[in-house]
Amino acid sequence: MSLSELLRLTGASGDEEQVRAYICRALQATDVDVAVDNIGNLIATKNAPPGTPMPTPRIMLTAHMDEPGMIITSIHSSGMLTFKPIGALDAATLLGSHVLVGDKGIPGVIGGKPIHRLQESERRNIPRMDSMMIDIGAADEKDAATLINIGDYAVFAPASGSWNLAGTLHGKALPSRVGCAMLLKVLALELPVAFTAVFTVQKEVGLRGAQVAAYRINPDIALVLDAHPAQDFPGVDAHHQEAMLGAGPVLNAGDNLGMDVPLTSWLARVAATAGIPVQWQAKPQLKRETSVMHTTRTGTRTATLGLPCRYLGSPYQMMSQSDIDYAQQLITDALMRLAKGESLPC
Amino acid sequence: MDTWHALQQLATTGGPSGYESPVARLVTQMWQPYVDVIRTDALGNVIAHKQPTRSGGIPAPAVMLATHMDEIGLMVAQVEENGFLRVVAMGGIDLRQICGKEVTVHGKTAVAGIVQAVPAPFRDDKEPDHIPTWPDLFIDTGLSTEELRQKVQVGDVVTFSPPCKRLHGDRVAGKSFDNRACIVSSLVCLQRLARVSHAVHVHAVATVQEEVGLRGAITSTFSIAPQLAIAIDVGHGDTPGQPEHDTITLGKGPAISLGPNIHRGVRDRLIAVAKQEQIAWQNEILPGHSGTDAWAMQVSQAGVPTAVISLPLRYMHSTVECVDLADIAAIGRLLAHFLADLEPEEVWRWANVSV
Repeated sequence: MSLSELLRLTGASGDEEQVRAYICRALQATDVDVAVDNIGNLIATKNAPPGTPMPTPRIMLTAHMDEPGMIITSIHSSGMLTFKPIGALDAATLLGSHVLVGDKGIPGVIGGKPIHRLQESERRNIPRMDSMMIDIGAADEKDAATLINIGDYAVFAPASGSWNLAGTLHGKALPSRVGCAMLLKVLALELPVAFTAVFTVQKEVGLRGAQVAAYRINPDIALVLDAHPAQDFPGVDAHHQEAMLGAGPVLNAGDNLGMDVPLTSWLARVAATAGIPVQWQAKPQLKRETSVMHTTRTGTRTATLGLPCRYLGSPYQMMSQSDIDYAQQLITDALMRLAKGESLPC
Repeated sequence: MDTWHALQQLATTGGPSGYESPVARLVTQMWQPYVDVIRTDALGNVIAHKQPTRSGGIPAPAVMLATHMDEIGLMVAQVEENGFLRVVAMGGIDLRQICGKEVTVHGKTAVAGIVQAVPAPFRDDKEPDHIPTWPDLFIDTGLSTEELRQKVQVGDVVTFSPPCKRLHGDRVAGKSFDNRACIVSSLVCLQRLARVSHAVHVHAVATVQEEVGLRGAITSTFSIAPQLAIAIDVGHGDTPGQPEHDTITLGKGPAISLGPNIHRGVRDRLIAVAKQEQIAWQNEILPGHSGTDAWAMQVSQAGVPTAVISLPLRYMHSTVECVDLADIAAIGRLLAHFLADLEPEEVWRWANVSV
């Protein structure tokens, strides 16, 4: 298993098959029980080793498999493809981007009217997504129809791979695949505790996978791994910068996120004990899987470990390796504490 | 070397206006086996000369082929804290298209980065549907303040580094196909000329600084003093939403341009050769400034008959410029046949010089 392989997979919401198959293969030769539920969530159950003394609360961890993308709505007579967005795609980065279309990953580009031909009024506005088309190099409609079906999904093409920056990760689909890679690492540990790791579908279009997975598993505690927007850029005042890259995982104190205050505070104490830096952020409007899991059945204690990420929804997102390492350690420490029977404060 | 392999090498090399030397080295390597002399002039133009290989009975005239090798890019204006850079434009950058694009900063070593903008609420113009302006833009390198300061300084140039990819059929997409694709056409032409005889001096030139004012064409044309000059450059390709009469079609062969920048006799001869060799060709109307090196070449010294051959290209000045490889090769073939068939007498006549 490698993160760079996960990042190269295509998986817009509703089209997570490549990612699911990859994770299934990664778990094949392990002691983890794997099942796929009715809507495509991959549920990996890690049992406690025999002779584990104490019953622990039922624990669920989640990371989503899907990324924002596009869906093909028609083939134009020119052979170009019209599309609609899936999830929170950054429209300002679409023009001039390379994409992959369909299961076979047909390469295409999103081009626009050249600058030489723009009216003054056109120069100022972000072009409307419904005016853009994907060019796969087809000669005409018939030629394109040999390669593409209406309803095919498209995603940003992976980075060209020329980057090799110590300590920084970049590319498309980072929020989703970094979380998946972290869950796979937790599943590979030998911990004296049982838990269920869920690789969810359709987070980007309404947290739908997490909702039904939480119903099925009915956990006492659920921890979500996801990105947290970082805007620590020049020109943004310090108090608007949100999370900062490299300053540790983000703990949220939002009112609409399904953040369980005692659970989140407990995580902060676990971090402090281990010398793991964390950042506190209040951003109530974020869409988090915790928001739906919190109110599943009779209620679940939920918290998110946020991974600071710049340029969400764009083809080149950026995260810091140290934040990921700290978050990985924090989950492990939290699971160890729960294994030892530490009870959560109310 | 096939057209795609040559194009990939040329297009993925960074060389904005005034900083073309890495491209110049590559062009020199590619053209050298097929010419007699190749040199670089004071501005950095690569000038290749191939002597006539048959006699036309009278002094051989000089024919110049010009393809510019510079690309649009950015220049570092300020090195900020925490790995960020501020930049300015070199050439016609479309601000609607640069956010979220990967770039290479040509510092002491190559540094990768992403172009991005501060979110709308932190701009002077806070309208979220408006594109960012230069003060809102930056490059994020992910490096620490110290690392970046060691590698990059104000004045370093920046080029885009998108994938260079094969699409369906013979279509390909990437950056700076404007005008590296036409350098490949010149290569195809020189390769073919090596196998046939011709009665004129051929000067293939890869010009510098076209994007910022045709500057390489001005000096190279002066030094060659040709009797005929042809610019090979890209033309706006067919794109939905753009008038058909104002674009040229990908896959339909070279566009043989017409307008005040183009000598009618030369154009007619190019068309005759295309017909004779069964090379598909198309018209491109350029009613004034052709936007090519031909504009400068035409008024060099006491004047030069000029023509423009255009390669159809979609999405000009973007990271996803699209061309058809068959068109690149067809231009090379057309030029080679044109030059091989050319009689010195015709060229002197077009130039209104009696010999």
